[in-house]
Amino acid sequence: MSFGRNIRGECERILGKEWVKDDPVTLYTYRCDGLTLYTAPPMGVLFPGTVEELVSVVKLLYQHKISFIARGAGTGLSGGAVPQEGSVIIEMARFKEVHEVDWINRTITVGPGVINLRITEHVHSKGYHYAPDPSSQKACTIGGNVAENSGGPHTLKYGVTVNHVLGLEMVLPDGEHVKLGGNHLGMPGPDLLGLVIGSEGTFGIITKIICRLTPNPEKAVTMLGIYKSVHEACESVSSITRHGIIPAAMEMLDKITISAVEKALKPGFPLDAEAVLIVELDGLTDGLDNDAEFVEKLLKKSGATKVNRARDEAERAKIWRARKEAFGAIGQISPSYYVQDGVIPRSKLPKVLDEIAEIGKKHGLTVANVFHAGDGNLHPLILYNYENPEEVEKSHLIGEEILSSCIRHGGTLSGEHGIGIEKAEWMADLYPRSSLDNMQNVRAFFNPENLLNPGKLFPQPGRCSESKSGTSPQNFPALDKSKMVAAKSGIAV
Amino acid sequence: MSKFESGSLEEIQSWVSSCIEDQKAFRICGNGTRFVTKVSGNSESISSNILSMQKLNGTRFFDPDDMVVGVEAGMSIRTLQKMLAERNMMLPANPWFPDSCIGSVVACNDFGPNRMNMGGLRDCIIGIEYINGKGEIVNAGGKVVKNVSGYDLTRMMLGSQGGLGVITAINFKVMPLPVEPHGMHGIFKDEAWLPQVGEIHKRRIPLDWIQALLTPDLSWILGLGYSGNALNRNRIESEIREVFGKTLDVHPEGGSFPGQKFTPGEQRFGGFLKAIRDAWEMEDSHFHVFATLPTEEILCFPFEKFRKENFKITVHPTGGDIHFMLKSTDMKKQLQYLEKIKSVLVHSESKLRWVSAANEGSFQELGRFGVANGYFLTQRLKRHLDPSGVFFAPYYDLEFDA
Repeated sequence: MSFGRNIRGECERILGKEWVKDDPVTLYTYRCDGLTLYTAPPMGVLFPGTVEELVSVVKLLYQHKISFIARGAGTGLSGGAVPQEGSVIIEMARFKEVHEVDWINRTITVGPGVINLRITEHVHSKGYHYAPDPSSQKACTIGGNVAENSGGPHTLKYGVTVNHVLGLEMVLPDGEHVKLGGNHLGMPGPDLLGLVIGSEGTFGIITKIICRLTPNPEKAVTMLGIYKSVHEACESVSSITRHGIIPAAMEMLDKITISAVEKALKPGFPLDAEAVLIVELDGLTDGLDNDAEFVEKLLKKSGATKVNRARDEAERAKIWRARKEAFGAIGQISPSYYVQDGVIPRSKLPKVLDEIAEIGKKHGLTVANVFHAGDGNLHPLILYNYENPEEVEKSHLIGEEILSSCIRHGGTLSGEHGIGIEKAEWMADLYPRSSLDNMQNVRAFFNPENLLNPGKLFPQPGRCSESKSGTSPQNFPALDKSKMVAAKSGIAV
Repeated sequence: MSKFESGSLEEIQSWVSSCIEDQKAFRICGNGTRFVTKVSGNSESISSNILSMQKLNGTRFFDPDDMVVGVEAGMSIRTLQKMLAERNMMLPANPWFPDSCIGSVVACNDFGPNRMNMGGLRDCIIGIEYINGKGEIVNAGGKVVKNVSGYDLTRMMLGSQGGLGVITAINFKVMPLPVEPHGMHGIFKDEAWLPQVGEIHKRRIPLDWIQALLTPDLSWILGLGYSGNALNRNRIESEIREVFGKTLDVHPEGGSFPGQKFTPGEQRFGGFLKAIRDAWEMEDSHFHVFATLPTEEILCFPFEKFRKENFKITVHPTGGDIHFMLKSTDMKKQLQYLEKIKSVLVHSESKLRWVSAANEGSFQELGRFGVANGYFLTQRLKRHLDPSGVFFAPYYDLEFDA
């Protein structure tokens, strides 16, 4: 589908010619987000620069019943920004203004196009940071983080996006501009702000965000526990929390991931280890070493053969780089990977990790693991060759079986990547019909015509897990999985 | 007045369904500790049809290793905290009245003195079960500490004040009890503590809570709570002393405070407000509102004026709130007090809520101070989710200009 001449002309009149694009290169670029398994070209891409321009184009699209999607940096991993055929993408990159910093109330107000890490860079010298730190924080935008309720390694102690956003402004699908929350805690009434955060861009397009600033810890102690078995590493996680300690982060990498990061980044992780556990404590300098010594003893008691402590900031940075760039490092050992994001109760880690290994073995593919051990948020990386259709098919099967295992053990489908297209069919396995219908009823309130980011989050009509809700999406053709292609990161095949 | 009460989820669901069918509005109550239920929206519309959740009070699950718990709405916060404390854990929310039931605490999004530094309900709620406007049981969220699977209906119900559905069970992630909690307390004849608290805030000292309250003899008790190992605490104490000099004494948690009926430290996990109200001999029809304000506004608030006019005040100065109380049952006077408070709230996002008042006190009188941004959206959402209007909640009835 292409822009009708009238619509295109109207968009150009509102935004200026240079901010309306539908050339083949642009459409190709915007055909998917960070999950390159699913692609579909948009009808066009719009680049509004002000709220007024945004409201005008939203009203125009709404009036002509054209579906649209807001997009940030496109780093999402669940296909949340993949357009339905015929959708227009509204790129929010021009909303990159840092509006104001309020040091007393510890807030910063930013546009949705501001990159996550820039917020911390903006305030770090004054002793603050923005706590949620997804691995993609060098590239992902805060608007996307709000849409997905993003997390990151340090959410164990500090919480996810919803815990660090106090207010926002957004444009509803019919062009109404609303404000939610504010600049302090304790607003009366239902927490609509909390409802909007994580709604995957299906309720409105965010135009401004008030973020909480967190004081920088005076000191951080980062330890690397080395293990001969994944089970022992898991036992360390339980042991630490059992003793009433909440570290800033507890992250685990298994043997396969260790080999990949060693090839790519050389952080000095032992290649003969079955697992390493990164444990970081932070706080005031005084007394922190005592806590670290106690944790070190716990790690050793629960099976760590060795515990290395980062001696300086450079060593700490090296460890964290290995963790945060672990996904990319997998490219050293496999042409492609498919990452999952299930969450399980922490105590079920050993059992579920065993099951994941078995699932991979059964299908003849390797599954690497790098994950947020402290909050049970798994990131199994299914390694496959994108040029081998059988392996592509198997990667899907493995992903499904892993999700099934997570649900069976009392867990959930996603801890931070969102449902998007990728896991929409699975929602019916997680929630009873009445709960799904209620969610769709809430969507019908915000997005009655289902024009904003259709086809996401819920099973599509006609599929095996079809939702019978009267409010389910029906105006747009569902994305056909048969058209989805396996892709090496960034390159369709 | 008719009241329905049951310990059975199915029976409650069936009763709610019949109310929906008959389009018969009802209000939800828990243990009756909250005075705001007596406060009306449109005074003629107070529903006399009551659903009591008091008997639906079981534990759905408690997994200490995973630090998660799920309880039914009628359980009191005191019972929950006791169960958690036996495993050295707590819910980092210590709302005003210790016998309030969890459903009511969630429906009103209550918090307590340590919210700014340890988080409130918003930061620890992970799942919910409720009966919706069609009489169906809805589950949202789950039992895991991190979850972005679907819309966050859990938070939508947080603070919904009974207007969007009947909350029947809630899941929380909990946290370890603080290590060796201590408090530093001091008595002040005037508001000299306020700029010092500002300095503490500026220094980013990791405290668990700060609370200042006016005692019956009109002096302030200031308490600063903190925890951790000895080295950690010593550092915090020395930072506090640098700011306050020798005006504060160190007391381990739960220790008595000489010459006073209560201390901020003693009350913080058992519901702080009841004890203070008792000390001031406050009654349910006396005037009591609380304001949530940006820290900036609290730090320059004209407390002296209110102290001299005999207001009873409790303050949580950082990112917090101020409770204003007066021993008067005269509604006309109460409204004058309210106007006085409103007139000094300069920040556009400061908010006010009733805790207790003479019967005619209403949300209408709070005006824009009583509602959050996006209020009109909230009203529309209420009509969408509760088309038959059975979930009585005056919060949604406010009429004022946008």
